[in-house]
Amino acid sequence: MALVRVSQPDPLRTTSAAAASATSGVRATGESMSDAQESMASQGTPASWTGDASQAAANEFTALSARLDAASAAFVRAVTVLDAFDDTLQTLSSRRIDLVERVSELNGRIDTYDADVAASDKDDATAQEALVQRSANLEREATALQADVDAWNRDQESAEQTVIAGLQGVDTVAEGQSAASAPNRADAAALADQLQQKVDSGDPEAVADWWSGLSPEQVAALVMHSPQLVGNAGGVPSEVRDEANRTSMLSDIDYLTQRRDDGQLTDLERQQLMNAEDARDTLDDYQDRIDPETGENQAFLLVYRPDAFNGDGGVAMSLGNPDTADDVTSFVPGLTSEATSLSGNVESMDRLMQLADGKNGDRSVAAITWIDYDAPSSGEGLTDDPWDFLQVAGQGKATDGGERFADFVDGMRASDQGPDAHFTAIGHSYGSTTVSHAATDNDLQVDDMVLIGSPGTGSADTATDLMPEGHLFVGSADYDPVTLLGSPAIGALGHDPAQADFGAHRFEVDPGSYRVQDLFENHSSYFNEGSTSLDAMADVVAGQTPDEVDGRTLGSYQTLDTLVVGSSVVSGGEQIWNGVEWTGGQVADAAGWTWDRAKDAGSWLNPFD
Amino acid sequence: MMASLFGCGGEGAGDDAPDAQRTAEKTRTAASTTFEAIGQGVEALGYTSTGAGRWAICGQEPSPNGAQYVAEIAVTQSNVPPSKYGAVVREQAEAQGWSVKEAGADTLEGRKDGLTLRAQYGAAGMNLSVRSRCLDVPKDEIRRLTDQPKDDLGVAPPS
Repeated sequence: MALVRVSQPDPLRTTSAAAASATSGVRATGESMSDAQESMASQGTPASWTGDASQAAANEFTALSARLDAASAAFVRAVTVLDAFDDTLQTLSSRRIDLVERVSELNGRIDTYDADVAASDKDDATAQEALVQRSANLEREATALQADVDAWNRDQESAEQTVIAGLQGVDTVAEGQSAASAPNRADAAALADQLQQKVDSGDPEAVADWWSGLSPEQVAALVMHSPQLVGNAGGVPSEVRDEANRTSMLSDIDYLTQRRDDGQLTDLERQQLMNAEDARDTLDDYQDRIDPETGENQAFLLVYRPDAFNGDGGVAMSLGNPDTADDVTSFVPGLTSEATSLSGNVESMDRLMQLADGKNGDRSVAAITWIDYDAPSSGEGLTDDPWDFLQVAGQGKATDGGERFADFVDGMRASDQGPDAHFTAIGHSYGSTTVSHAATDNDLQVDDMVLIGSPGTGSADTATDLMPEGHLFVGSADYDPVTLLGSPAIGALGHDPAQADFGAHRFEVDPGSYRVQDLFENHSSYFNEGSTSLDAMADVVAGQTPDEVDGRTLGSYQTLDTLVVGSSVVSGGEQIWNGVEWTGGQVADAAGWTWDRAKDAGSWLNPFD
Repeated sequence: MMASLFGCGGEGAGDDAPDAQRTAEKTRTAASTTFEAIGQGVEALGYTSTGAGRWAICGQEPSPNGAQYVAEIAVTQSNVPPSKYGAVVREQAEAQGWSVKEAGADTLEGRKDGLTLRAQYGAAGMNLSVRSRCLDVPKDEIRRLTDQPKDDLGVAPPS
């Protein structure tokens, strides 16, 4: 008798990512509800309004506040149910993968058995007896496996019934009121106060410990009540930070879009809305990217502060879950970086991550773009805040940013799961000065550091002021003018880390174009696809050591003046002067004080003065 | 003059808007047929979407040096065991004319007509992408392209 193949389990009708996305929408609506309720409860009627009408209005406000509170409680219950459903889906998905593997393997053996039967000698009694025995064994295995498959199918059905029943349990006013008055209802405001105290204490490990003791309902209530606090708190699991920040982002977009449509947006709100939409668009760019091992969306919004830094905004996004990844890197971009610069910088991290992923065997990689400091801004399409620009010359923003970055990394370390991740900090341009300050002033907790296109390392005089020997890697293109600001003498932003006597491990970087009009582009080429610098940085992220090249020594490289003049001569003509002037301006943007030097260096070339 | 002098790649920017349009179309076509073939090969039961295409910057902010078209989709579940993904992807990609090589554990890369295919797979699914070369276009064109809304690739959902 022919053996029956085992059927594959039914398709999973809802993916974890789809459930998470739906939950985000519910959570954002619940957050708006919670805000409205708190506002209603705290304001009441104005003191100047007295009399019967005032009393009647106050009574109405109280009643409405109670109804909104009931709705808020219902939303918390709904989110708790959906979160539990998401967890169940992940378990079901994992079990399904295992079943598919087993079914495929067993059906393959049945196919082999059938072929052996067809090819067997019917007169060979011994062979036929062996086949009968194989058939019995296979049938027994198939029956058992089919039972497992059927059980999985029933479990999926059961999970769906559970989530339906859970949501139906809070879909009436009475049920919402019941949830609101439940004795075990999570006190979100009190929890938020506790979390705020932990955050203010500056100890993300304490945050992580406290967080691990929360129940699912407390988590749901807290995220809905205070998404800004939860989303930006170091030590909170990255998955929850992402959920909270998406909640804030969606809620902001709803609210600010309405205000825009009503013609009520302030300038700051307009920038907030741009920042929120940019974060949403960047997340959307990666909606078709999953973690192949978990099936979850690969993008995590780890910081979301659209109103920070006078509207420049603060933001951080990771590709890959930094809590579970084996190799984690966090990139600090430099000049002109603000929240709306997220997309392009994430593209750079995507290229780096994919390359590192190919170098580290079975280890997983997460790559974070961190723009949560007030990077100097100037030039085309950027802030016109003059104070913002004036501060470019100094290290103040790098000092402040360094403290924020070190705190961020501490938070990532605290929420890390399993063995400690290998963590690499990367700073580009002014971001390298920021990362340097994080190390010298704030005990930055990373394993390796990469500085690229660096105008200076702040107060660090040698590599070991930043990292233990052998763990500071530097990339400086020969024709990147910004890297010459800190050499041969110390510049306004500190030492050039590519100098041989600084003691860093300098890796090879393509030298760049020797045309004056391309000099600043040389400063922005470190993450180019196929470049030697990208490959070297991927080595570091993957825990490997890139090839070393000689550091700069006097006479072995062109100083800034020589580079500007020399590349101008090579370029030739009237446009040269324009080029010198433009490049000088760009370089000045980079560190504030070079413009005069660059202009002086090029002035003799200008025959049109 | 300054804009042309200091735009992406300086005065020598080699590509223009029609080049971009042709590149996007070529990438979308290659992506949708390849994604569908690989999806059938692994007996896909679900995708993240019907596929999306967009322009991404090349180089680095704040001075990107070009733009490339990126098409992506992810297979979220299938009836082929993950242990067989590598072999199936290679077979299907090669049948579509891609020259395929390994690019790390559980990752394959293919090249065809200036395009790059990447397949990264694991126990829970598979990321697929097709990227064009970087087009050498001026900065204002980079902004225009990357500001465009995403394209729906229209990969047929599993039947």
